[in-house]
Amino acid sequence: MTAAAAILLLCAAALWLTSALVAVLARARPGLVSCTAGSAAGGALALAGGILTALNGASASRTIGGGDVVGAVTVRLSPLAAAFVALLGLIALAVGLFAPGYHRPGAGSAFYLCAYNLALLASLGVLVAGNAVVFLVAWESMTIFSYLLILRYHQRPGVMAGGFLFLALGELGFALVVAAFAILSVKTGTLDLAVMAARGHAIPGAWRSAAFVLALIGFGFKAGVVPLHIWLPEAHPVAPADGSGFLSGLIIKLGVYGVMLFAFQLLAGGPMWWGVLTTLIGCVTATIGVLYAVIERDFKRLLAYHSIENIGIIMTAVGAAMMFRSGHQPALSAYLMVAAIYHVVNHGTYKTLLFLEAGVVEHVTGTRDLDRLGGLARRLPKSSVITLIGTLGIAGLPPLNGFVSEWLIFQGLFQGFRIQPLAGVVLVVAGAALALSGGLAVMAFAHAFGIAFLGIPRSRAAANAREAGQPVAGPALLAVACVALSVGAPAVLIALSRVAQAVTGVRLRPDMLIGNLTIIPAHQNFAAFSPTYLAVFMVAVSAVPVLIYLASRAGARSRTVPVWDGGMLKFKPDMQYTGTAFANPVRVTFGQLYQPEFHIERASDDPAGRSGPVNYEFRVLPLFQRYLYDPVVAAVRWLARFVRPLQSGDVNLYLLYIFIVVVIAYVIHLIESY
Amino acid sequence: MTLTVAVLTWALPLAATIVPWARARARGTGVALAAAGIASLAAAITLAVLVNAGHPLRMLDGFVYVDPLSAFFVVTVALVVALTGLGSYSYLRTEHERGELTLLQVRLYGTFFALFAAMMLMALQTGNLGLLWVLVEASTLASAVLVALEARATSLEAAWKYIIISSFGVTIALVGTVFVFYSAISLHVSPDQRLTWPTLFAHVGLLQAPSLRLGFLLVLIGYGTKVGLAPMHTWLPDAHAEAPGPASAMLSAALLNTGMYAIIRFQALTTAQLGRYANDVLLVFGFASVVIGALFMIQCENFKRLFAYSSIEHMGLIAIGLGFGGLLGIYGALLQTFNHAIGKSVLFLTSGEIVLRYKTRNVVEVRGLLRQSPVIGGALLLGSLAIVGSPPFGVFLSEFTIVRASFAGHAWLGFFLLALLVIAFVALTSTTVGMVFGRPPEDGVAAPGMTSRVIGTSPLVPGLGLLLLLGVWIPGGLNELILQSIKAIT
Repeated sequence: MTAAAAILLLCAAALWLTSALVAVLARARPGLVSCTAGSAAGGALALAGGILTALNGASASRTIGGGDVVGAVTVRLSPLAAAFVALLGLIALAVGLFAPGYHRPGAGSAFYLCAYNLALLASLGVLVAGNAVVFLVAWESMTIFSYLLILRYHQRPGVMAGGFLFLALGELGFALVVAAFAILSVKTGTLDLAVMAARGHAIPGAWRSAAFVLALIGFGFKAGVVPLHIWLPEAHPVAPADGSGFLSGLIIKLGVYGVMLFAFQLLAGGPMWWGVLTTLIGCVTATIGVLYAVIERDFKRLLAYHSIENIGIIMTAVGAAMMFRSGHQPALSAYLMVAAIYHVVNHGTYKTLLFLEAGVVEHVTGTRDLDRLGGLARRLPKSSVITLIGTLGIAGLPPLNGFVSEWLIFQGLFQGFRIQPLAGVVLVVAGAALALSGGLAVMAFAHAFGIAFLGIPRSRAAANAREAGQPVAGPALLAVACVALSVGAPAVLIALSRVAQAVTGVRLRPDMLIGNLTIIPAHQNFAAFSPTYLAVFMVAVSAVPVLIYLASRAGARSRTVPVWDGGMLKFKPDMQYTGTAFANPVRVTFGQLYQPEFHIERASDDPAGRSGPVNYEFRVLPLFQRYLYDPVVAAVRWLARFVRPLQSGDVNLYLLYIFIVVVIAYVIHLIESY
Repeated sequence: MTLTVAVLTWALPLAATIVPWARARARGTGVALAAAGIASLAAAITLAVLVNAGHPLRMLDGFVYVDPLSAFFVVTVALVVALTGLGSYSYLRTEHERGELTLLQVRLYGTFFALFAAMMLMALQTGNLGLLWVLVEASTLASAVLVALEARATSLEAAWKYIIISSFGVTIALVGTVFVFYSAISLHVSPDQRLTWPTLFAHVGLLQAPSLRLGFLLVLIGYGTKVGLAPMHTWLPDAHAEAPGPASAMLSAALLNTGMYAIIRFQALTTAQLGRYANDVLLVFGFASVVIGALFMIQCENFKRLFAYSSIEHMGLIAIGLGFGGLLGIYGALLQTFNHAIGKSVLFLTSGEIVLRYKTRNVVEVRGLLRQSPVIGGALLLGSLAIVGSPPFGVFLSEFTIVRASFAGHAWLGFFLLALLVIAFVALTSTTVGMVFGRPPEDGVAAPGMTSRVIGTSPLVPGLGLLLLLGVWIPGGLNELILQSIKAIT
């Protein structure tokens, strides 16, 4: 099985590399189609390879070259990475199906598709790296290629700035990861990850903690953890739709993978505060992320903020797993690890779906501003059904997959009383924070879907939207995957429990399932549920009114009348509830966080309603940028200005420097001599 | 056999100095330079293979001495000469056709470019520290002509500063060399052997510590001026910015390395006799250079100066690698030397092409290169990503090795170094991506005839390809050469 998985992944890598070359060499339509087909086929292979590796539950590594000083080129199939590989494959497959309908042939698309396929390859490299150097090379290559794919529309406003923020903060995070790996390699005397993990216990505690914190922050930059997230809402929306989907669906998950790699493998078993720190970061990330998402008007930025929220949920689960491990509850720790990976896969699936659909909406209407959309359900019927599935998934509503994994995480957090009291309190707080963010997420997506797809069009562009020619297969595949991940939850758990067993050595399975379809998540004496029966039940219940309607329709006479409009002469689009209005309660409640600036312009001073057009704008304070990043940038710039006079252009001064250095050297020499 | 090949490496460029005067015009001169460079590279690689196979060359009482370290630097410099020789062809033809360069200037360029190359290659193949000094000084004088070639007020000023400061530095190096000579006073060998590196290294325990220490400090300051270690780096930004593109590449990728080679020779003696003393001094200068390089790169308005500051930063990194020492440190430093030489050649040749097209060195006047010329824009993008240490290019591997060495030495210095590297990364890429992407300026039309000239881009593709290769796979021969070099100096 290992050999089969390795061959599948090798073929996937070869296909992606070939597709990257094809994209550049053949820029006409056939080249574009074969490039995306190759990338989709590679995705299918990677999906299969990832699932095989997870089921296999054993890791295998092979060194294929490299020097003895700089580092060997070692690749490794590891169960921990298996779910991420499968997710990578799924996303590549869906995006590959979506891309030919979305991109037009040309130099720009060729450049983009080349970068995209290389980014796929580099992501696979991160997941199969068996050596710190291979990991780092793949990691930063992934950042570079992702940066290039963000720049697809580099002539549009905001793209260069957003892309550069991605690159610069990516580099900052990368430097921290480099430091973490440098510490580990120096202290263990090896670059091989497996050997490093085996010798990890011998490292002195302070260095272990230093390496963990560096890795947490470094990978946190990539994952988009608050307050390291500021690049995410700038960079993800400006990429092409499929690029955004790939970035939000996969790349930020690799940050989670990095944290898990350090927490569960390289430095397995740390002090309690590691877990507490991770959990608290997760809670803050989830809450802040969703609070910014709720008030967002730009569809893609809203999705980007939701990625931050979901990263927070995943990090909370990862942190809780670490806390249970430190609190001597290995079974609960393994269980929460499973839940975290499950949520990674779920979020990757529906977030990619939603970004692809956001791309479709942007394509047909030319805007991402929710307050200019509306009524798309009737104009884009397929897209709206697919988007609805994704929306239900991301909002964590039953019976879709988001609900399953979030519920599993909640069940785990409720077991906090089994470890020492103070740490248990952290888990209670975490549960509360996730509950709050879950509620707000429902609101945000009621907002997003309701404003964009329901009602009547708010602009001519939205009214003229047509679905014909828009890609359907890719998002539809992801919608099917969302349903499958929910209905097939027991199968997913079987696969993931093998992963957990390989990583932690804990066997979860016999206690977790009753009669194959019912899950007992955390503990025997707690709740149990079956996503499969739930889905069947909910579908059945919602079918009842339809059946009643169909049954009664036979005899009854139907009449068609206008919607009740409250006595207005004509129902105008402006009378609908806007997204801004929808989110206003939240904006008022959390005004301290947003500190919004309002600009209201009226045509006249008459009371509202008779004043003619009113221009209403508000801007949210970029809190983290202003108080965290700007001071650092300003300090570095100040330093640069401070040293500038050194290079004044005066040769006498230059010679003086050398003279001073000679004098100092001579003085040092004299001191040393005595 | 080894001697023939060794002589060929510098004799071919030396022969090329007379070609321009044999009625050659821009085209002939360019061809001669490119051909000499490529032939010299072939000879250098052969030399490295021979030396690596265990035939170090030592003749004429050590005046000719080629060990693996020399061979490594000869290959590096010859590679740079080959790349810049190709670049010179494009430069000379374009500027001569446009009437920017007279025939005399073309000929001066050809002669002094080849002379510059020959002097450096000779300097790397002598074991006599006095002759080393003479040849390094000669290469400085030859390169000063190249800096001043375009005869603008600014380039004359830059050349003048270059000569004044370098000569001052090199004088200090001479004093230092004399002190090292003096430290060998108690050796029972003939006087000229007291300046012969292999002899000194063989009897390093007999060298007198005080004068060796003072000698090393002065040599480090003196050759450090050549290398561009802060605070002796002040000539470097002006000279690199004003020289023609290929000449800037030679200065940055070959001359600085030659100076570093001299420092490594003296450091080997000092470390063997005095322990970590020399290393600590190198660390101080190394970190000073990285700080200065990184901070001056922020918001630099002249892209050639930007790359010059990047060179200072990289020389500092190499000094840091040497300073931490050990297998990791020295390996990283040598690998970094090789990678930086290729990367900086590509960047300066690219910036030379940009200057030819836009007739400006100002960052804000260059926009949308990728649209106007995908090859030049792509080379600038990939070259600058490579030089700041982004995988999958070679510089990352060497920088990571140096970072590992610093964490093994002093972890807090490792953090400091990483912070500086991030600053350098952001400062350099923020400038170059602005030039590569975006909309080209409406009136900034590319100079006619340039876009069609493939030869101008001919050194860029192999250079970048080599860097990419070194980022994923270090050839066994190069690995062996570096390991042998380390063995030769420890």
